[in-house]
Amino acid sequence: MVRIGRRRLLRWGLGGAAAVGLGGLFAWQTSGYEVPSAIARRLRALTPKEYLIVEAAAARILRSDRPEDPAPGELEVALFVDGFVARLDEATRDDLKKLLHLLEHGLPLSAGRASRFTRLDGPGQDGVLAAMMNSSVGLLRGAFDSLRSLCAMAYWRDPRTWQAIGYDGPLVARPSGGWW
Amino acid sequence: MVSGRILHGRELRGTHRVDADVVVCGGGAGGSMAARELARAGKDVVLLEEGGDHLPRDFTQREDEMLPMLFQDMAGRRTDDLAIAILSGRGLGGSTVHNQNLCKRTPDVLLAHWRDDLGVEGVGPEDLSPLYDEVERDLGVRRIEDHRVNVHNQVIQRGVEALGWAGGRLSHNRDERCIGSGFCELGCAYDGKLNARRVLVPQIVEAGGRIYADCRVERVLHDGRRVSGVSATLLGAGGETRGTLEARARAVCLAGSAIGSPAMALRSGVPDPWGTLGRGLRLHPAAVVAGLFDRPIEAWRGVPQSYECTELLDLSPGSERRVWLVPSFAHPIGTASIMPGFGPALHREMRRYPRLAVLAAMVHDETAGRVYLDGDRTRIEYEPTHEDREQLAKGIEAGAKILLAAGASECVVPALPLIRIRSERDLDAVTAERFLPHDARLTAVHPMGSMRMGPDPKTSVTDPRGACHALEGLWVADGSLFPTSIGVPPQISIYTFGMKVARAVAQG
Repeated sequence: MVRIGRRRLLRWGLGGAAAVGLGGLFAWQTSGYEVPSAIARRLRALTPKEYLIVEAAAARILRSDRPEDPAPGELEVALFVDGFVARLDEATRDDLKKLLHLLEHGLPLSAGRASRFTRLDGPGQDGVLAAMMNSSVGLLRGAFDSLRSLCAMAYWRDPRTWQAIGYDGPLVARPSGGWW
Repeated sequence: MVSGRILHGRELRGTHRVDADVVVCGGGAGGSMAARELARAGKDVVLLEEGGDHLPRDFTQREDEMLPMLFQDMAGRRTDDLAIAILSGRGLGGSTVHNQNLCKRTPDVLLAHWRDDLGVEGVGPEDLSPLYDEVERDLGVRRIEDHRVNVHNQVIQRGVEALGWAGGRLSHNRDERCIGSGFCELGCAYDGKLNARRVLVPQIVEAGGRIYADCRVERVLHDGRRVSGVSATLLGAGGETRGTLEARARAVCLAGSAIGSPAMALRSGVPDPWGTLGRGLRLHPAAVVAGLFDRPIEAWRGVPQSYECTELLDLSPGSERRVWLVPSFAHPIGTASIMPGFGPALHREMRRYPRLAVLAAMVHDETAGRVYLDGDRTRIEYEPTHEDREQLAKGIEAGAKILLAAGASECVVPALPLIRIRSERDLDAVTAERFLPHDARLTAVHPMGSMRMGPDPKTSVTDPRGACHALEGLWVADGSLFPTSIGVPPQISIYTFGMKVARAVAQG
């Protein structure tokens, strides 16, 4: 049973995470999570499992309806998140990790899905994320908001995303032909 | 005479000890002003700042690099319930490095209320006016020039004028180095801000003050009756511990913001016989409404905020008009963080980015929040009252009217579910219930009031001079002092109270 207590859901912000303490109970489940060695070597804060959860969530949160928009994987969104998380203080980093494990194991169950988040198909993952975003538990909504903000930072930081929104980017170090 | 200089924790190692007359904890508006005043008064001053000393050459105008560098908790600070994002500065110069340079005095009606109704002596309009004059001269405060008003602000002004509402031009502290890049909130790469880092820090050094950047104050040292200094940690570039610093002094001035200062005091076990420490926190919570136009606004270009709408702003005690409306703008990451939804819905909203004009409705709040510790972690408890949520709703309703009057085809309020307003008939959807925690996106950039000044130790933390009631030698010199919200951007008032408190410290 997932118990969500105000004090156990630790806070998190733009770069961090709030998490249910229960999420940490799932951290030991590591089988079936493999990433290419080139990725694994670059991870600074996330385990391969956590990296794959972020990658899956970002793929849905940042999915565009236009093929010309860059895909999150192309922009290495999950790797950016890993680097960002590595700079957080230890307590906030732990919170984020617990949230990721909850997203992988606990939230699909509460959304009626008997599968890990990373093994759901796209619509199934959207359903879990939507349930989190619209949860009657305010803290879960806040947690979703923060995860989404972290993904948004990793995506819209990249000049390849700016043309679609008409943004011409920083003046400092701007290439002679512009950013796009 | 000690020669003034800036030392960097990231360049030091080991154990250090310094002696001084006064230690100032925090290098933002209040702390920098206090340190300068004390140094000029001949005091041996040491200023300790947790963040780094960031200079214009460091400001890349990239959100992903600047937000973590210039803001507390890597721009991730939130209230306990995650419902309100709180953006506070970190680094020498504090929030003045990344703020929008807005300069408004605390209105006389509020100062008179503090003096006459709350018994805070020495803060009446006639007391503070000469200090405000000095601060404004120091910082080059002036009305923003016509040629600096960008399209975004012109559109908002047009809407306000079409409604016949009250509004006007704002004053700023910037000079001719400002090129109107629009990247103010990410630090000015052109050094166009006459902020604490540019104006006051060199003056502190010139007057003999010593500054330690990358130096986090851990504890105020005291014996329960009077202070004897502080202990601090020297931080490396990645936040790692490089050493320790003990600064001994008979006076310690807390200036780490209305969140950092009470947290420092609580962590230090500062006597708090009446449980007032950390209580009374005000945030100026703000919601936004965006208007969609059929032509480019490109609000990221130019000076971000040069016009205000004061139609809903009456700061008299008991007023029911407690909302300040001001153009608000964010670069793409900030905008995406506020827009609700995900996947294609989020992309569709983001594609409107160049055609958006945005108004923020900031509430002169009566909600009393709290800063407290959970272990060693600083926590912020704050849930807007129904009355403050009503003010948010009134503000957003007014903002939508302004945007529609300016020609917006549609307004959206970032909330779950999204509020869409295409005509005044849709305004019924904007109610206080839509501003419950997590329903609408709320942001706060003006924490204040968590170590309030006042004559009565049972209801205040410091006396009207800023001296702590319960611990001799401990002073407060930032927005924590304010006994109420001030309803306007606080930087000028924080500078002014930094000056006022420093002069009291110098007098002993």
